[in-house]
Amino acid sequence: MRATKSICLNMVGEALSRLIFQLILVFGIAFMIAGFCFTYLAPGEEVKMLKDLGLTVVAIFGLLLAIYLAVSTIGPEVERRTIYCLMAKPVKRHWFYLGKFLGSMAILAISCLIMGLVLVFALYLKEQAWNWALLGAVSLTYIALVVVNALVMAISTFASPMLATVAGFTFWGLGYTQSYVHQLATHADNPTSRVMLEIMGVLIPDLQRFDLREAVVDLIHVPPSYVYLVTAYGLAYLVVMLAIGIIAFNQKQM
Amino acid sequence: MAVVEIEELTKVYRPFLGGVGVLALDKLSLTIEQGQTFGLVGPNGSGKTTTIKLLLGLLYPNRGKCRLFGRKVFDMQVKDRIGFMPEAPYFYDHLTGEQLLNYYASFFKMSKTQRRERVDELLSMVGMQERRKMLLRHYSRGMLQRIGLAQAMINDPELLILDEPTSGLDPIGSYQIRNLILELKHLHKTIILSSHLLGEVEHLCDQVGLLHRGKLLACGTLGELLPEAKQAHICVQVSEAAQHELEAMGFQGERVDGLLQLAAVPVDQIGPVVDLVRKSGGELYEIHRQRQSLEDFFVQTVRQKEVASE
Repeated sequence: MRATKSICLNMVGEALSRLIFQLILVFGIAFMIAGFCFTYLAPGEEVKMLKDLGLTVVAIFGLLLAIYLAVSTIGPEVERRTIYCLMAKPVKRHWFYLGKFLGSMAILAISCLIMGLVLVFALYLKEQAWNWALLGAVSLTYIALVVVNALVMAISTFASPMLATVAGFTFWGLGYTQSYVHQLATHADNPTSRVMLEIMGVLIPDLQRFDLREAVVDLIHVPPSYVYLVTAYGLAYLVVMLAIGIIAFNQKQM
Repeated sequence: MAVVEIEELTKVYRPFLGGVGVLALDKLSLTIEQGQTFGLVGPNGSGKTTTIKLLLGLLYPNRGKCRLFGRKVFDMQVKDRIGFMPEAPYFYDHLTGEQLLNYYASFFKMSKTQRRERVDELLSMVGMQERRKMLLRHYSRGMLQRIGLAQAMINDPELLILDEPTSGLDPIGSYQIRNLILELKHLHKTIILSSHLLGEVEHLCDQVGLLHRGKLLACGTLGELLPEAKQAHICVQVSEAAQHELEAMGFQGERVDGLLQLAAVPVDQIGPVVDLVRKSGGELYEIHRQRQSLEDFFVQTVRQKEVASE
């Protein structure tokens, strides 16, 4: 655990010092602040717009960050040979992998929290009321981002950063169209197509379940049981991705 | 006691999508005893780095086995006892030299006080005390090399693996690193030194292994590999008369700055030459029994191997 903690903290320190991380965060916040420009809408619509835009910005910039962190975790360590010194120390491969993953989780958490708080504060300025439900929606987006991060990290243990990045965006896109995939599977005439679509439905999580934008914008009550269930659903995928990543990394020739 | 035991170690690099693999190491067997400084030499692509990576558990062998301190290389108890310095080290450049050493120290069972003391000791040893608060991104190549050596010694290892420790350094930097390695040698550390610089290997190592295309062509002490020549070079200051006497004995000399240089004196004739110099009131400056250099041996062995394989 000591090694995992050291690797995790080092990764957080390194990411925070990187310009690209700061840029992603600054641009994300800038986009939210730009939402203030929509003053020509009716007052109620304006707030809805801000919430929708804010949560979309958290998801998009979070996704960019999740993929960037995942592809810059294993590959650059091997290319720069920093991993050689580390592996010569009493560090098991899975401790290293877990440390890097936890580091990514922490950085994503920091980013989502900062963007979420900016959004809550921006809405406070409009509504004169603290809307903490937004942070709940950001939390579920965070779980989706962590799942994508785990998948891209697993792929980047054996594939190039470019391939892993493409896989990440594809996974995200397919994850958001899972409801259509399920519909297609139900209506497919060809049994092979149906089986293929069903397998795809199982392999790729339904990321729309993590998206609470509609509920937040239209003030629909979300029962806590739904949040727990979706969290468990995300964690199940996370565990599988992590296990695949660790197995692949243990086999890696460096 | 054997610190490193390698048996029939074979490594083939296979492309990800199949195809013909590259044989990087071919049934390598060698043993390195405690306290030895072992030089691993060979041309580019001869398998030096592959051997080191296999010893560190960065690669998995196709066949054969290697053990450190009698244990498998992946054993964490083994990792507690080794130190590694890679070629042209690159470290996390958001850290200072001191933070980097603290980071690497955090992987070992050390109290905060022990860690602080060890970091201080190593920074002094490698001459980086004044630059301890400087970010690594501002370090020169030589400084990185020195901090690289310091991180390899953070756990006071019994076995040090150094991959090209002086490559790319200026003469003063190389001299400092060589002296540090000599200090470690005097502390009876077991050292594996992979280097292209044969003079350096000859200067620092007790044993040498010559790798070529993944095969161990020669392995032994410098004395075994480079037998002493049967001739010596003698430098004396003698009168003209004594010079004539030496010529009469069959030794043609050449005067350089007043000193007579006698090349290729048979070893069994050293005594009579010295006696003659003394009797004539001359002065003996130098007797140097030459032997083949490691570089000559290296070139000769590799060429022979290449001719044989053609």
